[in-house]
Parts: sequence; structure tokens; C-alpha cells
Amino acid sequence: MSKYSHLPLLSLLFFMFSCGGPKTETPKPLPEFSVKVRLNPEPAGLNAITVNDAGKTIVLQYIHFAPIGLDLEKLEWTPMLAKSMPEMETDANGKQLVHVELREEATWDDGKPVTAEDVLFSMKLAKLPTIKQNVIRGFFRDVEDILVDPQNPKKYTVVFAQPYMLSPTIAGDMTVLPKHIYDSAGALDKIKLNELHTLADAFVADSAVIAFSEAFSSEKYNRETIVGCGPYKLESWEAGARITLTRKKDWWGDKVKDGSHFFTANPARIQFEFIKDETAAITALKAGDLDLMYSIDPLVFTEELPKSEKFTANYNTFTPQLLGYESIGINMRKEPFTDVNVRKALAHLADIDRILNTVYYGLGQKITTYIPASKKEWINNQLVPYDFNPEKAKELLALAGWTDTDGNGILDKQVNGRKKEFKTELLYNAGNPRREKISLLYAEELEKVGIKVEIKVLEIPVLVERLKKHDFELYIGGFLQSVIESDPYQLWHSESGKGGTNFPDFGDAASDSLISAYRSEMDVEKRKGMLKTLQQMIHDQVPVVFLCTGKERIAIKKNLTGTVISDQRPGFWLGTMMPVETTNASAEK
Amino acid sequence: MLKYTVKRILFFIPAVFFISVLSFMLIRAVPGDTVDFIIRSSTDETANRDSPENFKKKYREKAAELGTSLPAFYISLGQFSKPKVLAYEWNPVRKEICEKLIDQTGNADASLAWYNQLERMDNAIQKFGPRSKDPQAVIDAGRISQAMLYSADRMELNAKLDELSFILENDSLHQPYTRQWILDSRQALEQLETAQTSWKNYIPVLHFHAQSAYGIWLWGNGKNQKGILRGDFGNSILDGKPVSSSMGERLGLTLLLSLISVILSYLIAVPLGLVSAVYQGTYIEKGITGLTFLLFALPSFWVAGLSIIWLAGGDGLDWFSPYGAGEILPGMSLAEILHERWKHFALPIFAWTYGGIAFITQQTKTAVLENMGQLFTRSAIARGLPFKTILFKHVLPNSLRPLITMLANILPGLIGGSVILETIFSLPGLGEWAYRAFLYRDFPVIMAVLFWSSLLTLSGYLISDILLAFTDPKIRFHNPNNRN
Repeated sequence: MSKYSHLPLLSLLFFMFSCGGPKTETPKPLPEFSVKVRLNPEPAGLNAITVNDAGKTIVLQYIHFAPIGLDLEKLEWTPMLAKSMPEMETDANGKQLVHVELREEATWDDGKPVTAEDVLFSMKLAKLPTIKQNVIRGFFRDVEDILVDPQNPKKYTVVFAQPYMLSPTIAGDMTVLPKHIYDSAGALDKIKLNELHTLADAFVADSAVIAFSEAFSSEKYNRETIVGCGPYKLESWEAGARITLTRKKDWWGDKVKDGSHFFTANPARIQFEFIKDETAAITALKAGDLDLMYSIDPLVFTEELPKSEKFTANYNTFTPQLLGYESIGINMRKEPFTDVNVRKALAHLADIDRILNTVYYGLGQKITTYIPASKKEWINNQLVPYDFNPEKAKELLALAGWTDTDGNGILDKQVNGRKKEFKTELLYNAGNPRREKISLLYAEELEKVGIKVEIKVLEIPVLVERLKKHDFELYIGGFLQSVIESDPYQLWHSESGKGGTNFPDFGDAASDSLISAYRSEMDVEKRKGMLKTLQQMIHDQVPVVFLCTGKERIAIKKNLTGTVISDQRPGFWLGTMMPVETTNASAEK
Repeated sequence: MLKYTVKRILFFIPAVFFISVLSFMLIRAVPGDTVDFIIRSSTDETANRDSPENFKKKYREKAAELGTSLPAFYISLGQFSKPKVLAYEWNPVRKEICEKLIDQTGNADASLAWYNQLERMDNAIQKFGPRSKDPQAVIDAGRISQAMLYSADRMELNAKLDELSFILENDSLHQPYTRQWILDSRQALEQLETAQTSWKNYIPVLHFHAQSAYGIWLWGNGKNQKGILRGDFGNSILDGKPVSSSMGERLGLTLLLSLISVILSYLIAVPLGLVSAVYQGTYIEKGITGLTFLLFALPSFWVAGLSIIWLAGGDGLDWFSPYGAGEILPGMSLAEILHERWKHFALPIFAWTYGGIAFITQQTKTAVLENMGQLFTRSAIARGLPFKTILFKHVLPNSLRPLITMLANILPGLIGGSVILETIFSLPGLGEWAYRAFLYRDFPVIMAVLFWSSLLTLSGYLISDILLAFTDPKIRFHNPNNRN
């Protein structure tokens, strides 16, 4: 445990005392310190365009900057590379324009300025059809063109084919990569962005473009050359062991005084350690080998860690809201679940309090809708929750024709002249102990009212295949939420039921047209009203039984303070961390 | 001896070939649509925002890249009823449903015609949907036609067609189009009922394919993949890294730890077995046997977990590190490096080693006891040779045979056994890498691991046979193949 003993001590050598009033206070240079964070699983890669997993997102937050970012403290969009929030207007042809101006100070590591050309290049990359594993192309589908201001290389306008309420977000939330490093040969120069939008296939035959695409998707840009204009650079990636980031020495962002927490990057080094085994990770935590650990098992968090003296002496714990919920999805198009009374009965059979206590160890809360509780102006608070009421469930089932006529404990009904028993299948993905417990608790309640349940555990690829083609009855699913506005299309539009993620196959003409109107509605107040209406529709139709959201479980070493803790994933920003000696010294002063 | 060895090595080629074909086929038979899974592994909303056509295009590209739309092997056994072209179908749903319909009716033309008609109708409903005055009808109709695309139940299809007809009839705008769609569909469905040639299902047929997925794996595809015969194991689907380079990185660590544990276990177990045999019947022997059986009974993953909790910091002793292979910083002296490695490797090596000790001890003891009861031992005793000489010069060499045979099994165990322990100790070795590949269907990695596994197994057996030949003259002189 003497690994970092030398680092905090170094800090004392760097202290300066300032004199004069508060306005002329010279900022104290920060002591050098490192931070070790557990990251699991190891990211598949760090290429911003071709890889998408949670691990990569956490690491890239410190390397790349976008024009705007989601401030984890204030939970709203804030300008990062951009000088100020982008402005929107609709032009004479009905196209939506988003104007962006980048900060003067923004430069790459070699001193070259970050310009609109880099943004244009990055957007071309994002939409290039020849990059096979492009995961973000769909996000920028509606971007038609980017017009660079001929007078000012830092100014540009993003053109959208049609008005879409998320346009400013799409225009601003894109990783900006340096053109002169990733495409020094200019292979993409001859491509016009507005042609990519319409003639996506035309470039498949161009050999220079293909060569570029293959090079871009190769290992080099996935694991070695990761260049961004953020405060950190990739120092090394030891496969299977750790990723190390080091703080850039003369970072342009240090000149920005009014920026959000993204412009604060205190740790000199950030190490992401890949610890696969939970026991090993908890032991490392107790041994003091880690400075921050998140996603700690709830049982360990609530019972084991508080009993460990070593842990309580050295760590503080935090429980921000985890933006994600679990629910039981119902196949609305399969008998007997086509009857809304049956679905409502299923909702009344979920003993969510019990699930919260047994599965979440109290770290979570009940939900009635998919919108997070923190979005107070968007969430429909008028929804009457389906309380845990087996008697009511029995009544509803009887209303749908299901009663136990033969006294064998299983509900039955006459279907097409034959007696059919109420037997159903509950699916969930393998390797998820939380869902295993939920399935047992829920199945128990169903069995009590006479529904026979067969629980099936499937591997994720097999499960997803069945969900996509609606070959299921009930399943336990988990969904991510976000503080930022999202499009209800993926989950709730009937088109998404055709092989998309609308597994329950929810949707009718009314909800579909509401969603379409929502997507093109520019007035945010009107959108709030529409979303509340949609939530009411979902609540009435019961395509899913909403269970609960959980709370994140974070432990941070006591000698580090200042970490921004947030409801928005991943729940923390390491840049604002500071060794406690710093604040003690400044307090003394 | 040499001839024998060469013959055995030549035998590797057909053996490895056979194993690779079998592994390849088995991987392809795994349920779950792997192409879809790989595309959707980007579990973000953004990927799923794609329109169905875009998704189909992505799917097609990926399937072509992975070779899943090609037949698995150059030769396939089929039925007379199923046309060869079905093996090249990239759309897995279409393939599955058409094959099922052909199984039912024996008529490929009618089955394919039906499915084509169904797809046409589904597209038409989507295309003309926005023009309809009754959007609800379009949604309902779309749902039915989608459900039909996944069904091979002819009764259900008929019923759904009736439903569809009813809905579309009631939508005033659609009638001119819809009547024709329904008519055409009904006709196609009729064909399935009337033109059945089930006998065709019972005639086996061998298909020969110019291109197969296995072929691409072997020779490459003439573009970016060179095939394993030229040393190109492809790139990992998960991280894009060439498989051979990842393998090289990770093999080093796994081999190091496994070899150390093998050597250690022999070094500890053979003497224990000897002592056990010599002191047979005494408390010493009982103690050793008891201890070794106890060790054998303890599952290694459990012991590994306990050792981390008790000895690697946390609430217990802080002698070792709970995870990883250690960080070698520049400027560390040799002593420091060794200390760092010791802290990280001691527990994994212990977990790896103790299980084997029990087995080897017992084998040694049994072999030694058996040889001690032999005539040559008794005659050596009668000749007055000292006990130690008898033990180490006569009995032990004869007892080595089962131990050497065991060695053969250990080499492939290097990969298999390490999976759990590497995961628990977060060691970046071969086992952990292979485990991730199996979980996420990373084919190139899986095939490479199976390939090398089989090669190692065969090599292990060959080495042990050669060693046996050296240590046991009976094999050398009595083997009719070794008349040299």
C-alpha cells in the first residue's frame, strides 16, 4: 500500500502563497496526483466512431471534446468547444439551421487551431457508409450539410433536412477529431457532405475512400492513436490490465475561465484498472488500491462494506440516481395478453416494494413511467400507479374470462370451444442475478393467483432474437434513461415494433401520430404536454409493467474531494477531484 | 524412432483439419443470430434508430463479411427438395421459414414463391400506408404481415390472411390494390397445399460449393483476409485487433503461469507420492493422503476467491495483490520487478497448482507401490542393494510412465483451466480472452483458440509418447514400427 505514498507529499513542494485581494488571486498550481478507477468490462476499443460500449464512453469523456456537452452538475447542455450555445433558425426553404462558433482558444496538441474543417471532417466520418462498423451513423441521419463560414474558420452552420426537435443536440453533441492527423492525405476532401446524405452508395467504389475507411477502422485508431482536444491524452493501454491517461501540460482549456466542470482537469494521471472479478475488486477497494469505484454490488454496499473498518475509515460513499429502470415487458399481440385487463392484472401483481427491498436492498425507487423523476417538467405526475393488489388482479382476470373452473389452482378459459389453462413463459438474460431474483419474486405472485409461470434464462443474443420477432410472452428488460430529451420513437412507435426495440409492439394510430407530431414540434412547452399525453397512453395500455430505478453505488477515497457526482451516467467527473491537503491548506490561509 | 515421430507429425494435419471443420460447424450451429447481435452490440439508442432498410443493408454487409451467408463447408448434405441456392441466403428469417415450408411440402418453388409474395405484400402495405385514410388499419395490417413473415404454420398463415383481407377491405382507399395482393397471396398459399411433393424430402443429395465460410477461413477471401494457411487468423470482431498479435501477447502470460504451476506440482507431488508409498500404512501416509484429497476436493475458484479475501488486503492480511499482473514502471530494479510479480502471481500460481498435486501424488504412490511389489524389486532387495538405490534407480524410473502420460493432458489444459482463474485474478491471459470471445461470438478468436488447442493436445500426446519411448525400453524394443 505504499504505492502512492510519494505523490501527496510532492504536493507540498508546489505551494505558493498569493497576496492581494480576491480579484488578483493567482491560482495555486495544483499538486500532482493520480487517480485509479475500476473499469469493467474492458472497452472493446476507443474509436469514437466504430465502438460503442459504456467503458469507452467513460474513458473518451476525458480525451475528446464536442461543441456542447451535458453538464453533469447542472444537468443541462453547456458549451464546450463552442463559444456559446448554438443558435437555431429555420430558413426560407423550411430547412433547419444550427449556427455554431468554436472558441478562439481551442487548439490541438500541436498548436493548430480546432476549426470548422475539423467538424466537417468529423461529420463526414460519422456518415461515411464505407466505415463498416459505424455505430453513430443513424444518429446523424438528418444532417444534410455543414457550411463553413468563409470569413471565419471557427464558424459553421449545420443544415438539417427537416425540422427536428433534437437538432441542436445532434449538431452539438459530436466528437470532433483532428483532420490533419486522421486524414493527412485528404482522402475525404473530394466528398461533399450533402452528397453523402443522398448518394450514400456512390462512394463504395472509390478505392482511396475505401483504403481510408479500412485504415480508420483498424487497430491503430482503436487502441493507439486516439487524438482529441480534451484535457487528457492516452498514455498507454495495457491489454487486459489498464488504460492510463495523462493530463496535457499546456492545454488550451486552461485559458477558459467561465467554463463548466469539463474545463477542470486536476488529476495528473487517470488509470482505469480492469478488474473482472467482483471479489477482487472489493478487496482492492478495501485495501485502498482504488480511488474510486462505481457500480458496487448493492448487497456488498449496504451490508459488507459498512462493517469493514478499513473501508469506512478510508472511503466516502455516494448514491446518485441511476438513470435506468427495470420492467416486465408484455407481448401485446399474443393471446391472452391482447386483453388490456389481463395486462392490468399483471401490473397489479408486481410487489415492487418487496423487489426494492430484496433485490435493490432499498437503493432505488418505484416508477410508473419511463421518464426519470428528475425531469420534473416532463414527467406525468397524474398517473395512478397500479398498486400491488392480487385481489384486484383476480377480478380483472375474471373480467377477461379467466377463472379456475376446475379447482386445480390454475386459471382456465374456454377458447375456441376448448378449455385452455393460463400458462406463460417469463424470459430474462443469463448472467444477471438481479433479474433472476425479480423473476422468482414475480412468478411467485403470479402463481398465487393461478397463472402458471415457466421461467427461462436465455443468452443475450438468443433472447434479443426472440424479442425482435415477438416470439415471447413476458420478459424482464432493462432500459437506460437520460436527463436529456430523447426521442420516444425507438421504444413506442409501431414502426419500431418491426424488428426494432418496441418489443411489446405497443402503438396505434393515435400514439403514432402523437409521436410524429412530437418529433417535429419546436416549441418545448408543447412537447412537454405531448410527452405527458404519451405517458398516459402508455400507462393505460400497459405494454410494460414498470418496476423501479436503482441508485448508483459509488465509493471515493476520503483523501480526495471535489468529485462531481451526478445522476447522469456515469455518475461522476474525475476532473474536479482534489487531494484534501489542497483544500485544507487554502482553508488555513 | 525418427520414422515414427515423423509419421505422427504428419498425422497432425488430417487430425487438425478434421477438428477445425468440426469446430467450425459447431460454432455455426450455435443458436442466436450472431450477425444481428454484433450489429446490435452497440446497445445505444443511436444504432436502433436505423430504418428497417438501413438495418437490412448493414446486416447484409456484416453477413457477407463474416461469411454467414455462405455455406459452412465445401460439401454439404442436403435434400433433393431444397435448392442449393438456399444455402447462400443471407436473410436468416427467410432461410429458416422457407426451409420449414419445404420440410412440410417438399416443394421449393411454391415455398419461395409464397415468401416472395409475402414480402411484396408487406412492402406494399408499408409503401401505401401513408396514403390511407385509416392509419389504424395500416398499423394493424403491417403487424399481421410482419407476423406472417416469421411463421411457417400454414393454418396460422391462412387465418392471418383472412384477418388481413378483412382489415384491408374496410379501408376504402386501398381496395383496388388490396384485392390483388390478397388474391395473389391466397394463390401462393394454395400452391403450398396442392402442389406438395413430400417425397423429395427423403432423397439425400450432396452439394458441392465453390465458396464456403470455412474456405475463407482457410485460404482467405482474396481481399482483406489471407486465411490461416498464410498465417492470417483474421481480426477479432470485438476490438479489430489481429488475432495472432493478441494471442502472442496473452499466450506468454498463460504459458508462464501454467508451466510454473506444472513444474511446481510435479516437484511437490512426486516426492510426496514416494514418501506416501514408502511409508504405506503409517500415519504419515494417511496424513498425506488425507491432505491431498482435501486439496483435491476444494474447488479452485472458491479457493482463489478466499485467498483474495484473506490474503490480498481488504479486511485480511495484505501480503499479495488482489488483481492484475502488476505494473512495471520504468526505472524499477530487478528486485523490485520480482517483488511486484511475486505479489501478483503467487496466489494465482497457488490456485493453479494445488489441485494437480493430489492427483499426481496418488498416481505416483500407486505406481511406486506396484513396482515395489514386482519381482525385480524383490530380487534387487535379495541381492543386497541399499534401499535408496533400489528406490531411485529401479523403482522410480519404472513408475514414471503414468506421470508422463499425464503430462500430455496438461498442455491443452493450459487454455481451458485458466479461464476461471484468469477471470478471478484479472490476469490478461489466454483463458480470459477466449472466454470473452465465446461469450460474444467472436469467431476468429474462437477458431484460433480451438485450432491451437487441438494442436497443443496432439503435440502433448506426441511428446509424452516420445518421452515414454526414451524412459521405457520396453516400448522402444517391442514396437514393431521401430526396427531402426
